[in-house]
Amino acid sequence: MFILFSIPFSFFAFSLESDSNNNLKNYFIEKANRLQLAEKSEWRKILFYQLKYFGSRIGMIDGSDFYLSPIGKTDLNAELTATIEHFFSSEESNSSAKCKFPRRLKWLKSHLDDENYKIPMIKCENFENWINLVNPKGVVLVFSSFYINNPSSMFGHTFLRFINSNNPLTDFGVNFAANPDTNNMLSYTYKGLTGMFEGKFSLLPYSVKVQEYNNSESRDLWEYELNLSQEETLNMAMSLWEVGNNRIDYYYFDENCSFILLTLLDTANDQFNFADQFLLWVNPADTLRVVNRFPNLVKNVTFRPSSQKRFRFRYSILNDQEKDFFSKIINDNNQLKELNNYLPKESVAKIFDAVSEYIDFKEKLAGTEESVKYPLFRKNLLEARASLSVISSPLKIEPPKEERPEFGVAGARVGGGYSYSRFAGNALDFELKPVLHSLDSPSAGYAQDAQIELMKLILRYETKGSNFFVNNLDLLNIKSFPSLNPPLYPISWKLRAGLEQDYDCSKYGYLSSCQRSFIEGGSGFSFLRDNFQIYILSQADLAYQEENGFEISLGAYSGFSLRPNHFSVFSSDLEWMKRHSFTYKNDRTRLFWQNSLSYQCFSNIENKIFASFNLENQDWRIGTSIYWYFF
Amino acid sequence: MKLDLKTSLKLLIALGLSHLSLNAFAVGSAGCGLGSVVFSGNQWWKQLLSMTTNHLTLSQAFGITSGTSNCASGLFGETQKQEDYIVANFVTLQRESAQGTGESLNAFASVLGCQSEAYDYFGSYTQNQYKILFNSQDPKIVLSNFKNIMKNENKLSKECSLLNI
Repeated sequence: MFILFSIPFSFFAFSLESDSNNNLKNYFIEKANRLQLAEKSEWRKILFYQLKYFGSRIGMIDGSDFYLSPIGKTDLNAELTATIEHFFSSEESNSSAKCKFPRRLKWLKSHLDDENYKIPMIKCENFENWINLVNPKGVVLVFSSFYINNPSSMFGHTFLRFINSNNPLTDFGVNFAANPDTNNMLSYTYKGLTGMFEGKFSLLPYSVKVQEYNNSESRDLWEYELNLSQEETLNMAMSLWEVGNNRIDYYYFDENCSFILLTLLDTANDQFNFADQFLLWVNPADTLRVVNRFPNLVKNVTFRPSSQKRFRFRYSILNDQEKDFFSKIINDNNQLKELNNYLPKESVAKIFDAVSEYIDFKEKLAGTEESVKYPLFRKNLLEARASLSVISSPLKIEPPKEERPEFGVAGARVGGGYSYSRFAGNALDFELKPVLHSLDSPSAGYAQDAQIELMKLILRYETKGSNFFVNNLDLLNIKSFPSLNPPLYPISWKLRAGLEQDYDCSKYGYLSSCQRSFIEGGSGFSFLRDNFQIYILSQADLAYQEENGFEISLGAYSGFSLRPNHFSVFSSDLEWMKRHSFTYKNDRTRLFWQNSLSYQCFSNIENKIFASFNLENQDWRIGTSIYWYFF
Repeated sequence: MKLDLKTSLKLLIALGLSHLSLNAFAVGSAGCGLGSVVFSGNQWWKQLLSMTTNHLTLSQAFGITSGTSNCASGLFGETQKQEDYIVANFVTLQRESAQGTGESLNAFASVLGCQSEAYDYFGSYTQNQYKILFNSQDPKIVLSNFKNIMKNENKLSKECSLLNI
């Protein structure tokens, strides 16, 4: 009887409840419209809306689970309405909108709740477990520095550390990276450039990243602890949760790891507009510059030295006799026991420490990897080291302040120059170089022994003949000149490809250049001590030149740089090449000497004067240029 | 021309399967967390391409929410943390243990629940017992060596709270 009565009643009650739910939902949608919440900058940041090339913003997240409205990627207001609607759906599980979007919920509640009506909360077990696990108490922006012997990492990489324990090494790291799903060179390139790789965030033990960079790649890490409040940190973590496993298409130039991290950082505080400062391309060190420019945002900076720097330190504290023993052990892996007869055990400990850092550096040991070259020797060495019962002195490695990436100029530059040549007369140059660093530029913030230039374009106007032409288009121009530094003897090398004007073309008169497409590589040695660097490389070149057809060249390239400080440099280099034309079976010589003096001022201007001599045809050119660095 | 090519690396991580499962009692060593951490080389052309951007690593084995599986909650989470830490830092821990000091070794002491005052003692004790502690290349065996030996040591058993999990 009771049941019979209660059934229609419960239907009635349900529809009442659903009605009031609907009313509440409509109330909040109407209120959100009235307050124009969708126009607020914070809302678009939470939705990861970013400027595209022509001034409109669209949502950056490409996974299907992020935008609730079908047009949510392009319409902030539609997404706002859809979000509120989903918040009033009856679903109460972990997969409900409220649990998937805690950041939106928090933000909307802060604007919409009033004394009469509130957006109801629910319990979200998964999210709570996660936030308790991550438990972020602070955020550190981490930069993995340029790596001397590997230009592919010259751009550096940025990622985050969530402070959640009493030791950085036991914290969590947050990384954004592309997930290449192909090993085919062509499709890899194509997919990379067109954004077909999916990028995703990952949360992983920070020490895994430290192992990867410090040990496996021997790169320094710079850590910038950010001055974020507990709430700002939580905001960011919530936004990270909202993106979750949604993919973000990874573009080489703009939507790369560093840019995406900035968009995440922007969600922490409405005052942050870091991502907006970049439009065309983002290089990771530039992101440090914008973050450092924000007043009081960087709390402190710490440094984690690479395995090479650790080895260098352990080696540098050896005296000459100890260094001799070091070499003996390295050359003949079997002198561990006898050493005790000759030296006090403190000395032996120092030598063993240098040897073990040497092995770990040379073998790039990280994680659970085993030494390939010296598996047994390493084991014996460490056991012998431990049995000495001598505690090692702490690593005292001074952070190289002058290499701090944010102290350097930005990665891109435009410039203009004037020059006068003996044969060609007056010329005006325009230069655009999107990335990154040249050896003949001041070194503050960059490595002194590596250069990477991509897509450098120089347009030249010669007044004598009113000619306007491409003087130079370097697809890439890389130099890696690590110093010989016993006991390490790294190879120096260079690689360059592109198109340039060859002024050896017809020997006299103006209009003397002809276009030359080339690829060139070389290897050799260099030496760097304090402010002086010298290098010599043998090199080979394959080219097609308008006048001479296909040519192969062999020769040498050498030079030196003098850096009185980090803001100026004098460099001089000499190129000597013997060229042989396959097409015409003739030979010619190139002997070209370039000198330049460059200095940097106002943190983004570089002035340069230069003089170059074509010793083969007695031509010369002197000139000056000015560059402006930007991102 | 000798290019040093083992650099822009991809991260190969052998992960247990149960990050995906919701088995409430899949705890400890039974398939959660890191199995091994190995960084392997990359092709030269990938390096050239990655130059134009920054970095393409394959660390995607870790999702954002993978930490929410039951592998990593409560007290079991601490076991997991110990295992993951020793796996991720194994070669460094070998070296620093032999040296009797180091930052990674201190962090290891902290995941074993040791007070920071005990770090120095932990370092020299580890150096003393090096041969017994590192009798295996398997990080999990080494971890249990650590816990078993420390449990029976007067000072460390008092100073370190996470040896019995």
